[in-house]
Amino acid sequence: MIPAIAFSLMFIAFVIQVYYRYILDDPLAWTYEVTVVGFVWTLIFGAIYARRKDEHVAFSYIYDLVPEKVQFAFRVIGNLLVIVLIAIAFKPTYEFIQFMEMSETTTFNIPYNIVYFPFLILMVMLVFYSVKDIIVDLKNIKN
Amino acid sequence: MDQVLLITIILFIITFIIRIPVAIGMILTSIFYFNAKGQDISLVADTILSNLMSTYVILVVPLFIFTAAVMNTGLVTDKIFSFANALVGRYKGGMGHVNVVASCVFSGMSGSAVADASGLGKMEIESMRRQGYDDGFSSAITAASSTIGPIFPPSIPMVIYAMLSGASVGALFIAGIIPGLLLAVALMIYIVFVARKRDYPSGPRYTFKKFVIFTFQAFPALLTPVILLIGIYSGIITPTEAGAAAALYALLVSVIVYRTMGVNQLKDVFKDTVVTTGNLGLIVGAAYCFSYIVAYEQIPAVISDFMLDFTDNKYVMLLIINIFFLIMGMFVDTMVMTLVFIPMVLPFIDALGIDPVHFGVLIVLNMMIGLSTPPFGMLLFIVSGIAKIPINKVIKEVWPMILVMLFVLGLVTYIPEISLFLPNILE
Amino acid sequence: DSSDDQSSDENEGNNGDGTEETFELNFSTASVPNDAHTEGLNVMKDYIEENTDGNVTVNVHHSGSLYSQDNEAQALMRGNLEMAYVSAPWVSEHIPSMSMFTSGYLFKDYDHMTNTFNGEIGEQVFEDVVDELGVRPLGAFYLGSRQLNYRDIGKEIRTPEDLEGVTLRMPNTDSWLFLGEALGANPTPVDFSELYMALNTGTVQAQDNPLPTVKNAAFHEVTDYITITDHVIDTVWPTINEEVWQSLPSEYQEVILESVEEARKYVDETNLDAESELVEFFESEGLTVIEADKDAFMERVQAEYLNNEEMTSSWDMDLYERIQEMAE
Ligand code: NA
Ligand code: NA
Repeated sequence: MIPAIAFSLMFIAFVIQVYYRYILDDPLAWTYEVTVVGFVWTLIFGAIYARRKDEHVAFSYIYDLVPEKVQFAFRVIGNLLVIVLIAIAFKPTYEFIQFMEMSETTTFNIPYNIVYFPFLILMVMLVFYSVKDIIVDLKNIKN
Repeated sequence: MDQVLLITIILFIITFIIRIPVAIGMILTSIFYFNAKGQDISLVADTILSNLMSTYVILVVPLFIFTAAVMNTGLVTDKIFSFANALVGRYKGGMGHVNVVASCVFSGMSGSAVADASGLGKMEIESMRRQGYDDGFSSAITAASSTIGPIFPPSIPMVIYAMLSGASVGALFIAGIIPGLLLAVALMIYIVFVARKRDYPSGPRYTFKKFVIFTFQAFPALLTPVILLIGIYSGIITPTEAGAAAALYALLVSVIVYRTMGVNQLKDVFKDTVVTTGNLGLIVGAAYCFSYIVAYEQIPAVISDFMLDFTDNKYVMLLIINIFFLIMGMFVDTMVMTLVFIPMVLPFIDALGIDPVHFGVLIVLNMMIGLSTPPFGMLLFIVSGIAKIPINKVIKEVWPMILVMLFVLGLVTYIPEISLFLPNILE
Repeated sequence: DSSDDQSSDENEGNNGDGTEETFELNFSTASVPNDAHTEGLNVMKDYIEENTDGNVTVNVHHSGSLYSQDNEAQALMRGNLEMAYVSAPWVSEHIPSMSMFTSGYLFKDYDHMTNTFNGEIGEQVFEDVVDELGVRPLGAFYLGSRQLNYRDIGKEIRTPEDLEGVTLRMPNTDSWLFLGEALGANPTPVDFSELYMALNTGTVQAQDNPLPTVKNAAFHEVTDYITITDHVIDTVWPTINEEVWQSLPSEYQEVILESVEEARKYVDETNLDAESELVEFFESEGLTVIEADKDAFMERVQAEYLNNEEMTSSWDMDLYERIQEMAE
């Protein structure tokens, strides 16, 4: 839902931009910002959605060749890597994004900590889905 | 080599092996590197976000994905392919030819191979799937043919090259026309051979009356590139805005002319658009982290020293540069290659008296081939994502096409007239 | 071998066996190798490394390979990067009073600019930047003067009135767009990467940039006229993170300041020479180069700024007067 809205805003802003510049001969400045921020938000929330649906591009060359037990190990190790490394990165990233409050976008004067905030959500959700995957894997092994 | 860098590379390979998604694996590896180096880990977020916000042209990608999704759901694709089928489909392996021809048409409105593969790829692969082509082959020819996009004008990489080298943008654009055609012809010859060997279908031969009907039905869709080209060349829209214009036009045609777009279809379109954008965009963003590491470790300088040992012969130098760019192209983002490595080799080009326009065309062609070269060519990930098939199936099929493209690269490299003929006439 | 390098903010002290402290300075710039201010960095690098017996090394990362134009300045502030070029538009984002230095016709010409920045006033302004942002500009290099460059629009532009209704591409910030209006044009934001095409097709009719940029981006291929207005004297300031600066022994600080002066001479001379040669080049390419009625432009633009409360409320008007006095 969120990425679809972000994309729509970007799309509509582009159309308005052409309309005002070409048809009305009165170029707008604000559409530029909406298109760029709309794009980044589409991308980040789209990436979260793709993770939920397990539709991120992966290299399954070797994974497909190994036995089920090894695949299980691959999955658990992979999810643990995600959890540990993202956890390490979270605090400095949070501080960086807070630091970005000092910069503002040029048209709407939105502080960059708000523009960049979805990246923190992405990090949290990546950890969340990895924890979820591990739990599912462990449950399956018990049964 | 520095120990941290070595472990970083090994970790990245491990993330690949254990099937962590490519984008996430790149992000994890970068976090590890910055942490181990004692640098600010937030550079990962900083690098990804600021680069995505400042690479304006990348905004056309979701718009072209959206356009393709609309056209697919709205059955516009079918009309296009019925028409294209009526035109060249009757030959053996006709859909393969249609795939290449479509990329030629598309390249007239796109300066980016990624936009071509993401925009056209879906309709191309699905139509070929419907006619019983192997998914691996369909995906591979889609990736290979989309490299035509930035060879034909307009071309984003050529504009950037012109800024770096001082060569004329106009001359570069015109110089790309014949090499682009050559690439298309070479791929179509390859398709002829494969189609015979695997007995790929030839489409039906249509009566003239049917051909007219198909053309008429496809007319609103066929008009898209025409409207865009007129729009761009008359100055109504910029190439980036063309992405939005195409999306709007496709939406209007689907809703009003073909009446095939309902609320449910629109939902699917949005879902497709955001998943593909998220997938692709995160890889591009994470690639910027890798580029930072490559630059910070001063890898380009090491390579420059190495190349200085070979400066006597112009043909040998072109060979070395080609091989070097092909290898780097397997791993490094095109934008970064353009901005970091091209300035490194320009002094050699100048000293050896190689025409900068000629070099621009061959190096862009080279980098586009890199985009489809295993293991990390970005187009491979895009087409495997679109076709929803494992990447190894694409890789297996793309190798012979890489050889075909390398043959063309060889011709363009050693016969400068292929590039310089048209610009010389016009001057 | 990079494994035993150390970055300057975590260097070891003099360890008693006679080895001296070493420092590594990474300088990141978005400019490309052919730009004079990129070449200037090599002048700096050589001078510094030679005069500190290699104890201070400088790594030049050009073409935005390390940081992009958008995040290099904040990396400099956070200490992730030791050195970078900053410019007046970026500084004014964070110190509103500095927006004066982005305004049109603040400086009459090159001499006026360099006497101001590389003199007493500059010292005072740069100290303010240190206090507010924790980064220290070490000087101001000349990039070129911005001129109007346009397609055939049926007339030659000599006065602000001639610009009426002309779509002039400007970077997408309020202050640039205001400058476009102040000049008398119809300013429209287009990304630099799309500007060549936009000029070629007529999406925009005009753009403004220093002459070397016009040539490097090949805008002369798609335009027919250049009007010499000198409406902005463009500069970049080589800048160092203040903590890094304070960690340097004073004799190294001295060497770095000398290197900046060497580089400044090189960059300024290169760009001034290039500008005078480029007029001939553009004429040989078939463009018409016109001298503007500079006084008419200056009068109008300065008045537009001074009459606009929003633009100038933060300015230090005493400083403005002092700068204007430097022009005489
Ligand atoms: Na194609
Ligand atoms: Na093209």
